[in-house]
Amino acid sequence: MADDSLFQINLVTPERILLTGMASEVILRTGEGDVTFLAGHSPLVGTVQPGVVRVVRPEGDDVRVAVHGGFTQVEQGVPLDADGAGDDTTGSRVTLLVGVAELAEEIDVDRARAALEATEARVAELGGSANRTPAEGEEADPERVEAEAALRRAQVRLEAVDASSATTTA
Amino acid sequence: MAGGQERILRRRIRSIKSTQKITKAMELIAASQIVRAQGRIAAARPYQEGMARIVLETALGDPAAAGRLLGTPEEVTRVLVLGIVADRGLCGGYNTSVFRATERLLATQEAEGIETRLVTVGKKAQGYFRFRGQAVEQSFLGMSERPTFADARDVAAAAVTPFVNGEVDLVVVVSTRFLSAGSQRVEVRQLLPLVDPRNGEQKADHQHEPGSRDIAPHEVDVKQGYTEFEPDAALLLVDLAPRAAETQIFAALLEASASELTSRQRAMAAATENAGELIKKYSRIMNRARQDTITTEIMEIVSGAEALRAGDEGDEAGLVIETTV
Repeated sequence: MADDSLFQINLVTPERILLTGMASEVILRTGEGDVTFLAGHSPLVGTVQPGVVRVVRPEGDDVRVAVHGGFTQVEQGVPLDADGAGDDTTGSRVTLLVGVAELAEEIDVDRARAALEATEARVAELGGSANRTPAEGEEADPERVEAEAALRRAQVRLEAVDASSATTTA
Repeated sequence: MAGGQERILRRRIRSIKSTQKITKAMELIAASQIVRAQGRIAAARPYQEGMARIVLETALGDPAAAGRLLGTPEEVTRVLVLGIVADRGLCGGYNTSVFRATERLLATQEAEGIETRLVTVGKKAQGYFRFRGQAVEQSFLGMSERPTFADARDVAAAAVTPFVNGEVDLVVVVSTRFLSAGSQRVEVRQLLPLVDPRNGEQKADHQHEPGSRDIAPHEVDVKQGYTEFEPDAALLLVDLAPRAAETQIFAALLEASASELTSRQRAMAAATENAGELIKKYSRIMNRARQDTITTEIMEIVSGAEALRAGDEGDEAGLVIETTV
């Protein structure tokens, strides 16, 4: 029952548990770069950067989630009872805490595209760009920072959808 | 005169009845919303627990870095108080008890020479403090009954940012905690610096959680020094503290909304019951008034007949008997 190559994944937002269950792989972007968590990964606490999180299910299919920043924790020796068998096995658990997250399948592509165009126009108007790092000693314009964040969110959202439709058609 | 009084009473009873219908409806609405509010508290718990675990892990990871962000500050000269009440009244003592707790806190802080800033949630707070000449730095409206996480973020921007920027030493929240459907309590809690999870309070909290699958505190101690941090614990904590505070504000808002609804349900149930009693009381007075009118009328008829009989002697004695019966 306890499969050593699997671990528990919980993707939690403040308002609900978005995704929970077993997984064999989780790929995400932390503050230090992209990482893949497999079962038995050593305990870790880190930040999650806005981007697409890919969760590979035991059956081999993936679930894609657009996340807009948060934290992740990997724990070992956590009691697992995901199959509901009531056995007291332990294993690893990956928790992702993200303020805002959307399952790729729940994203409305047309709306996301419209949002992207709108935010792009807004950012251009304020003279910023999505992946700009503020210049040294530059006064941060809160409006521009906000618009850039919105643009990044729109990009991430579309990225999640695109990647997800690519895998289903392939 | 008597008939007039009856009409006035009937009108009053009708008015109380329609008020009763309104209070009854409000009671039922509140009751149905409580269930949803409780569901929202439960749905938000996994995130809070996850956040608490990460904070604990990080605090254990780098005890030295915890510094200003965890525990109780040694010297407090500037405090930000966040008061959470409702947008509407009609909920018994719910708002007033939070106001009282807030004012007591403000008074003690003033006595100690602590500089205080006040941020509030709820329309009632705005009116209350303005009337009393207490400056409110920022006031949030329209979120008390159904707070979303985005609302919590907005509040956090006002309550947490001054702490992050070093403008205040302490942030406290005055709000009503939803202990159970039957018990709510106004509490003053420290928001920032975060309550040090290593000093029991949060651990104790956790053990109360029925069915929670948290790892026991001693297991965490065993793991100490073994967890990796990306970036390192000190940097992580700087990112983490505002997010954790935001999470706690969200929890406080959710609990406050459930408490508000419970208070409203209770207040409206009492109002409905009172209305019922008033209706009973006025119906009695009205019935007596009506009875009085009837008695008076009979008396008038009887005495009229008496007078008639006295008028023409011996003429049809049976008449008196017929009218009185």
